[in-house]
Amino acid sequence: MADSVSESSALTVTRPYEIRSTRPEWHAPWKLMRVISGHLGWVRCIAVEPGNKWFATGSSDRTIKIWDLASGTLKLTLTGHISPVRGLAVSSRHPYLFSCGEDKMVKCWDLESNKVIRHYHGHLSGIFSMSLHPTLDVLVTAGRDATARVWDMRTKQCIHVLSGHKDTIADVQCQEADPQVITSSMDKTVRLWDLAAGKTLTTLTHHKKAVRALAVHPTQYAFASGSADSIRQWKCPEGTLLQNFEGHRSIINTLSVNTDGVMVSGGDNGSMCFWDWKTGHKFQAMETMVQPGSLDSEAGIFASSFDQTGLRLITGEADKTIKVWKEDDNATEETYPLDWKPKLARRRY
Amino acid sequence: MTTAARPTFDPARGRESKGPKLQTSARDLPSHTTLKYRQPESETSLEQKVDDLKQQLLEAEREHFRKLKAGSGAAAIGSSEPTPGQVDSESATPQLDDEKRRQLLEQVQGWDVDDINSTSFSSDENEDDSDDDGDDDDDDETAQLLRELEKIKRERAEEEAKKAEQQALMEESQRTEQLLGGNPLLNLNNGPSFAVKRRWDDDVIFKNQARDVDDKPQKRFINDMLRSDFHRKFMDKYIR
Repeated sequence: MADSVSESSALTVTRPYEIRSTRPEWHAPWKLMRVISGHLGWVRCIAVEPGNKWFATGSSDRTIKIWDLASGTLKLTLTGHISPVRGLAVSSRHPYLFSCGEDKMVKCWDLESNKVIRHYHGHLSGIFSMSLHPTLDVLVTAGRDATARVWDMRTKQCIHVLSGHKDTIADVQCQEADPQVITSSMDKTVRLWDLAAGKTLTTLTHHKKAVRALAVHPTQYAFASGSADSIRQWKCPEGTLLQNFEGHRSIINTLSVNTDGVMVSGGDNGSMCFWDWKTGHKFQAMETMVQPGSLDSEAGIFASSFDQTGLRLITGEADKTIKVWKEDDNATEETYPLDWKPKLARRRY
Repeated sequence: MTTAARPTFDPARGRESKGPKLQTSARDLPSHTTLKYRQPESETSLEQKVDDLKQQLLEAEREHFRKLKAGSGAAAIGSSEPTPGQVDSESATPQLDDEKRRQLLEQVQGWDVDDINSTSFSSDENEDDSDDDGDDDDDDETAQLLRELEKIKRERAEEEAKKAEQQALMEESQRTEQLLGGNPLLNLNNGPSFAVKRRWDDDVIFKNQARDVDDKPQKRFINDMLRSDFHRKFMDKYIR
């Protein structure tokens, strides 16, 4: 008997690591501010200009439309693609807009003359995503042929063919520091690439479903990947799992992060979740409303992007509208208290 | 046979091709061989830049909403324009004031600028001055000047007050007009009548017998070209 007592006292709990759940930061709830209808098809991609005056949307109606950010009025329609436009990017260092589509074409539009001046030819199938390198004159496109191609912006030459994925690449993101290219694929993996060598640095195999969305944090050295089973946050150079964002039960089409630490995930069934980036707490979940005249099943979010300041969220939706969301100005921590209970440990698996 | 209509269950996988290209597309030929660059950004911190962008966005949105409101407000108020009498009085007073102001300005311009400076701002220097004969004149002039300035100020203040008063009056009258005319139930005699319009066939037994005849199908928006009323009607009319 005495033995057991002494044993239990010896077993005073010392946990291997400190378990402390941090209280998430409070964020104002987001609400719908504006609905822009003008596209004749699904709105598949969004890019906001670095000067924050306008944004461009690409749609399944094969057009790219440019909208004024403050007033939401149409400024310009660009035609030229012959299939849905799936990726858009505005360069912050050049007066160029890049677009790619399911017609295997990557186009470089000169924003001073609004004309296509370059084509980047080489993909074997539809291109689903593209990203510009922030400091090099290089663009990366990826798509259904399971490769990501790195193009020299000026000479239109393919520098690297990043092959290794076994299925369609759904999203690609570039950043300044290594890994400079991150791709996520329908083969349930995320790959981090060495841009100089054109080889895979790391393959992340945690996801159980196709990974359709990636989001790189604008200031932190971390990124998030979203698939139908979960959203995961990774630390950058080596790709260690930081945490899971749990509770969005849908196919996740898009992820966006702003500098205030708000992450948005947009689902294929029109559900949206807003997360605290630091702690992974879901502070708001809602459904988009379809515009009157469309079916309920037409609720779906394909693309999302914060503007350059993070004050407005722009989403491209399956009901052919673009919706602009903003934080509720009147909300305070008293009117919308934080719905959060501390858990024993942050689960990571 | 073309395979364009078949679904591609196993799409082509891309890979690095080492072989030389035998054909080049016209689009691949070198053109636009120089890159354009944007103006290099000024050396501001990221936070400063973001703050600026925030201010600009909010300001632009405010401007947009103000314009919207002004547009709708003008349409609503349109009927209640100021009467000719009001306009006359309004335009007459500023004219008079302008005249007066002009005269005053001319007077002031007549005086020497150096004089004003020396008298009003460096009076303590003047005390040390050995020149006594100019001093009295200076004092006189300063007093006069101060009086003039005082007068100008007073007149300006009066003008301001008058303007504010007129503005308030205008707003008040508009508001009362709005209040009086806004409620349709209060001015039934000249507003829309709520009497039920009787049709000639109201008391007939057999009416609305034809099938599928809406005398006026309401216009509605359907977010699908193939399901839209226009397309349906078109197909019924010309294709079937």
